[in-house]
Amino acid sequence: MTVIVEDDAGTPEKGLAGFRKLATRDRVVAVIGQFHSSVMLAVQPLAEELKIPFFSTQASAAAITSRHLLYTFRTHAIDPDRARAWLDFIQRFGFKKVAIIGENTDYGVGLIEETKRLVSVQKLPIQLDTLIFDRGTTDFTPLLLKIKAGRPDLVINVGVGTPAYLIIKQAYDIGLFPAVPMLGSYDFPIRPEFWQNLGPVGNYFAFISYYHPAMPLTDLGKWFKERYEARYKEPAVYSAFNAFGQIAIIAQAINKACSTEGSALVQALETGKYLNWNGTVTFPRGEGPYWHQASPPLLILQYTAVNQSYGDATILWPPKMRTGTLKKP
Amino acid sequence: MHDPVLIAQYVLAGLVTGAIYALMAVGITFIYSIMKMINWSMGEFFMIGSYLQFFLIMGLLGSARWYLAVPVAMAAAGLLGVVIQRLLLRPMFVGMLERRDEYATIVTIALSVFFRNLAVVAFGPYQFSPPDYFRPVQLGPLPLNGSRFVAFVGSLLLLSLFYLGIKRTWFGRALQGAAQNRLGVQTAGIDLQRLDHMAFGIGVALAASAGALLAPVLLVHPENGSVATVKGFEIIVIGGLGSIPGSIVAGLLLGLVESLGTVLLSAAYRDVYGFALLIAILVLRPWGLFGERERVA
Amino acid sequence: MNPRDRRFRVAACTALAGALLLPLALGSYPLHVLVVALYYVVLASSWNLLAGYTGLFSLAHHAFAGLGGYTSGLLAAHAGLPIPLGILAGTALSGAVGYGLGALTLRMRAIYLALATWAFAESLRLIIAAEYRFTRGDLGLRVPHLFGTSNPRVHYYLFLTLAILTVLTIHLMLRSRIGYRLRAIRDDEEAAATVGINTVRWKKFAFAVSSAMAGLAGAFYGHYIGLLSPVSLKFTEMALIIIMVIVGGLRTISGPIVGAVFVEALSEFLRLSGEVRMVLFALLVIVLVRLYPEGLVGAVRAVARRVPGIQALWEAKA
Repeated sequence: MTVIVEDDAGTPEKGLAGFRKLATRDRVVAVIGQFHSSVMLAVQPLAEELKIPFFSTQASAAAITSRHLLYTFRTHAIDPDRARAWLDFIQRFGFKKVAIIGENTDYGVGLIEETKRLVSVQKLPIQLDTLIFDRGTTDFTPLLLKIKAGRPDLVINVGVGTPAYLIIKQAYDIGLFPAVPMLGSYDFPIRPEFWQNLGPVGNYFAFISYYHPAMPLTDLGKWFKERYEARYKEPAVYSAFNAFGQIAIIAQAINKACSTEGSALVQALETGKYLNWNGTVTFPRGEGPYWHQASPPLLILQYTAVNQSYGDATILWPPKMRTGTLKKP
Repeated sequence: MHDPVLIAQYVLAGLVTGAIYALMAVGITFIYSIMKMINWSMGEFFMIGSYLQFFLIMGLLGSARWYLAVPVAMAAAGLLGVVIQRLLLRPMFVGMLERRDEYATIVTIALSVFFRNLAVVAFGPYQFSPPDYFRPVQLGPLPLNGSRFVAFVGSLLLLSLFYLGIKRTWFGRALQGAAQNRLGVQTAGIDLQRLDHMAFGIGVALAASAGALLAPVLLVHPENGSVATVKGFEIIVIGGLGSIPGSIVAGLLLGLVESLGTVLLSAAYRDVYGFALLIAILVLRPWGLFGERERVA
Repeated sequence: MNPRDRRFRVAACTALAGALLLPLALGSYPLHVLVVALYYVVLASSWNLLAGYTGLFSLAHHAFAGLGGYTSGLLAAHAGLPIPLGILAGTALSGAVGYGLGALTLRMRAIYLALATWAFAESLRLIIAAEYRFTRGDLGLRVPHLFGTSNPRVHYYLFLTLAILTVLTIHLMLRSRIGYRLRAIRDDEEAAATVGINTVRWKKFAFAVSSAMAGLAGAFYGHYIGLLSPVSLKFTEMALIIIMVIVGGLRTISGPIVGAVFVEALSEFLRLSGEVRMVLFALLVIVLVRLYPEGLVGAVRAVARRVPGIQALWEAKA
């Protein structure tokens, strides 16, 4: 397998251009790597037209798979997965009043809307307080003061990158966190800069992760982990596992179909069982957003000591993997 | 109704933020007053200041001596400014009488694009942060992050130093003269070109100082200059182009308006309040709150 | 007709014939790149009309393209309006808002104009992103395709027509008394007023026309890409338009065309990361504006003048 890389610059136009180039010039067999839901949504019809399997690697909008497009596949957590995970977590830990602060991007808005929907549909006894901010915001203090005044039991931080860090810092400054537990919506705390940027402020932060060293890896996953860590001298991260896994799945599909032709691959993907880095996956034509969707298992971890590596973090959720209780200072 | 303690907290938070905004704006307005141009890349000098500060602390000086890194970062950024002024902006005053504004706008926008993307290429899109400069502080009812407090005090300090420098030193008076009448200053025998170099260097050094002071607060990453640009421009318009006291008052005002607007109205519209105010002032009172009505010769 | 005109017509006809036949020779990827380039030709030319020829250095041009796109897209998505009507509405709204912005900024000097237009564009972006319940914000607003397909082959002819019409309109406008008035306003507004030119009316006119053109292009473009997002209202889009016009040559008709095609083609050809491309383009702009204020078109002319046979050859062909 040869990997050819194109940059979509986060815009639909360059995404379309890149896909066309990969399809017509480079004659690729499949395309993976999408991160922006909006770009993915724009390019999907093209994948259908050109009959090339198109995998979302980290684009999480439910709409991507609920469109039920033949050539779209995904092996990442979608908003309903995340929302379900933390709503279950909230109920098990007895939180009654939850504040969610989210960025006005496709990710933030999507997650918040899905969470609200699930609370109302399932009539959960949770009071949700949601606040949306513009991604360019750098001063969250007024918002956080407002949240603090509402006395929530948990704050969910749906920022990505800079806003995620700033929210933690500023919540700490006004005494909101860690007195009130805070949950991050994705696994940025496993990155090396987390402790460097926050120092002791990052302690007691809980977050969603797609991987923990305690989780079993398949042989494929172990193979990748060894080589990744040997080459980059840092623990293998989910994004790398995920992208690699997709390529491996495509290779297996080619073998199963004995062909690199688009429709044959789709057939193979829909009917086969594939070895991924973390288990076996299938891509059936499920209901709603679970069409061609292989959601990874989600975990909720919590750091309990400064500079802790994420392998040592407590697993709070799911219940069968739990290794400790929620800690506060 | 809203709790008075909470309102007091919002007001204080707004004022602290405002003082820091003012530091960013003063550099822009200063360059304008001397060179009559708007530097659209000021935000990127803020960013450069923050990166310099981060690397100086992490690589050389260590986190305890963060206060030594600030002047070094400022000086380095100032030097870069002087070089850019000489290479790129000098032609504005040597020959190019018409289209000066256009040229300045194009070049400084291009510089902004250049630096911002260069930062991504060189350091990646990641966020970094030096450790906090100081432990948390309680300012009345408002618990305040130590670095933010340092940035607040640092802003006030730098603004005062700058003000004294302008009013009391000979060089400062030459700058004041240039701001009032470029031709007059030349006839008085002062080398206007040298003055321009220095003015540009000082202006960007001020932006870099804000970046260095705010490195742990806004984090160090290629996009952190946008805030400086946006707030800076809003402030200079509201306060009045060329007026330093105007920048300070407008900075405080903007911080306040945003803080209260965010909680009393809508958070997502935070920046729109500032922009709306900017457009309103440009339409109704273009010389701002404290600016002087300009006479175009 | 004089030899220069004849030469120009021959060249233009050859170019047109070539452009019409191009889709036969090119695959869908290069055609897509050309469609995007032609879209930028319209944006660059119309901005040049405003900034280069009328002297109004607006930083909100990309916002009008976005406004046109979103108007048409929202009408199609929420009101089920047929696409051609949506595009018309987008164009009209952009023109009207442009007229309004022109009116608002009438008395502003260059620097204030730049600031006000910049603030306007940023506010529009923030509003569109904030009202995500209506506009779908960053999630992207899915917009129906004009011909039911995203195939660049069809859209190429559409955008080619659009580009030709725009450039022709601008050319004719500039050749007429309107052009004389606009140029007078650019060169010295006060003097123009003393000569009896209604500067108020013509500045608003320039804003309205250029914004309408941007809105038209933006509306068509939205229906081509199939998805609208506030990303196209970021300042980087405006910087890109400025880069294209400067690289091609401000204040020339061919400049924006050359610039748009060159920058778009180069950015696809040099498929480096987006950031590296922008560093190179920014550097190019800085060098050009410092040394060759007339952009590539000017630079080529300057070089041509220096190389001794070319001038003679050029004259001889007549």
